[in-house]
Amino acid sequence: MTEVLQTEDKKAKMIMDKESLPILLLVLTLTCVIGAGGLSLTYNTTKDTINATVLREQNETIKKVLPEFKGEITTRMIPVADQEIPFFIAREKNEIVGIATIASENGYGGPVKVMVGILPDSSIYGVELLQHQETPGLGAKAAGEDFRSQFKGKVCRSPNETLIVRKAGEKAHGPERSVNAITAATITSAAFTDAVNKALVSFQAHKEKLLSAK
Amino acid sequence: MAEYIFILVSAIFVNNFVLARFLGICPFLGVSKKTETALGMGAAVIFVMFFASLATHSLYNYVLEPYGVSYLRTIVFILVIASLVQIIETILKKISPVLYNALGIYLPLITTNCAILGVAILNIDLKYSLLKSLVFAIGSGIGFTIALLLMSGIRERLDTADVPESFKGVPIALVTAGLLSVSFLGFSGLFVSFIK
Amino acid sequence: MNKFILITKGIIKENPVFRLLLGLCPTLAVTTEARNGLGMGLATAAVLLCSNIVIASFKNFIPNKVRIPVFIVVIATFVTIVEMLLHAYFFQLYKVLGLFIPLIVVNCIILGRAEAFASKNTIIDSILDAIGMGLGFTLSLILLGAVREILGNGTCFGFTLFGDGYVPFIIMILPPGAFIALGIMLAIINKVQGAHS
Repeated sequence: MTEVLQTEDKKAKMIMDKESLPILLLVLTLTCVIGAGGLSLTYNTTKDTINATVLREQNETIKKVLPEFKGEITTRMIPVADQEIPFFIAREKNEIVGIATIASENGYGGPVKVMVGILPDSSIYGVELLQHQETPGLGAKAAGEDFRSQFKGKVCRSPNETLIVRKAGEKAHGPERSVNAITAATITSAAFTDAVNKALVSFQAHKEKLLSAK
Repeated sequence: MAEYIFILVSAIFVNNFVLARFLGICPFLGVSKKTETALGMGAAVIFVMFFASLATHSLYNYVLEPYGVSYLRTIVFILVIASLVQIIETILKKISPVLYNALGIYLPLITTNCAILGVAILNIDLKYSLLKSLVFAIGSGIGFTIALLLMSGIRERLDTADVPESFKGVPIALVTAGLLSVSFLGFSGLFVSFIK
Repeated sequence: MNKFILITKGIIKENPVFRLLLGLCPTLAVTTEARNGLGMGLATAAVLLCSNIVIASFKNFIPNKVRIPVFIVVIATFVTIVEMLLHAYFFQLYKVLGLFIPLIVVNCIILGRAEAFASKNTIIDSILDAIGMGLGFTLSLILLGAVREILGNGTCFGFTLFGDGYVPFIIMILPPGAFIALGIMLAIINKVQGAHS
């Protein structure tokens, strides 16, 4: 009888011990350390692949907004307003083929981020929609060829010569500056165009520096 | 200034946390049966979102990022939020029993509310500064509360409505949420063009 | 036979989405396309499987008082690992799912299974449970994604289903469509259930 009681007592003590503060802390710390260790291991093994994937995606987009070229892309970060903006300079046989840059503007659902490819003569070669949260089926049409192809060949030489969005039925501001809005998605079209304008203006501001860059 | 208003309005209406981003659906369906509880839950969420944003944003930018361990983000954030909820609960109990009685029962539910972790992660992903993060947190909390309040008002009336048997309970609540979401879709564009 | 039930119960009788109403946030958010539903479902199932295995293996060493924090750390670790793997090898899916990958941590299904099943059962049973629940979650997401994609975009897994004359219900791939589609599907399930009993 006493023996049974003793083992019961022991059991209770063991359960208590397992729940004592030092053990709790030890278990928690151990879990966190093992977890963090596992993560750092995974991070170090996937880091290179992640960087390569991101770089490949970026280079593919750059190739879409610039004429075909066989050569290297160099990146220059230039501070514009309060942030650093990347300029991707594409060269073939030491000749600058074109420069791509990224800009964003708030649209209907959040920032609309675009990449703009600009030729050395300041005209646009191509634009790509990088990131957006616009309405599927309406604003998201900005990613389509129909809307984007309008930008090709457009020029902007000074900040007061920027591109302007034209709604259906509105008067055009001359073919050089007007962009036709997507039906039922004027805000998205305007945000997209403003982002392109931003890219053009920051390119103009640093044009000399960029084109003479080694 | 315009930028902060944009963040606030966008978080409340355009990208409403519940009706457009689908964050915090569980409490949205769970505690939206009565206006009173909806208000309590909403207040608790705004409160925790604010402090969680403050804590996670500072931790990420002053500790995780500089030491190159930003991959620990998720694990650190969820632990911070869980402990923060505990701390807030303890402090509230001590200094303001009135507030504790009002919010207390909702606090434990908040740890697993994806809206809180969502705000913390979005602050980082959208590269917001500390001030913008706090504005975003408050906006998101208000958006959550508004959705919850509207829903509770409708559901109080739904109780007496003649709903087909198979739609009773969650199905009709979801369809109602869908209709609410349609209305949010509508006036969001108005606000954006108003600001521009 | 018993083991078989462990898998099938997650798919029909205790389907996490349609019966238990768990994990609704990702369910509603990512199902604009069937393909995204599949990706999200598999990512969640992978985390569920790993966390169930670890928790079932170490259940005797985890003190009761700190079990929830320990579960959360284990789950968060696997979620981050899945996030990094997706970032490295499935970049398109990673971009589409975005915020909802780290949010797998707060998916009630995973913590729920850890607490209700893995912490009380053997490793083998916990694996089967995770497979069943993971499969049930994935199938639900594919179903909802397919319905929304077919109605809202006229496609299924990216394949065009109807001729040019089809005018899609854009609303179905917008946020309201998620709520309405899930609500109606739940009602249909209730109706079928009612007819059976």
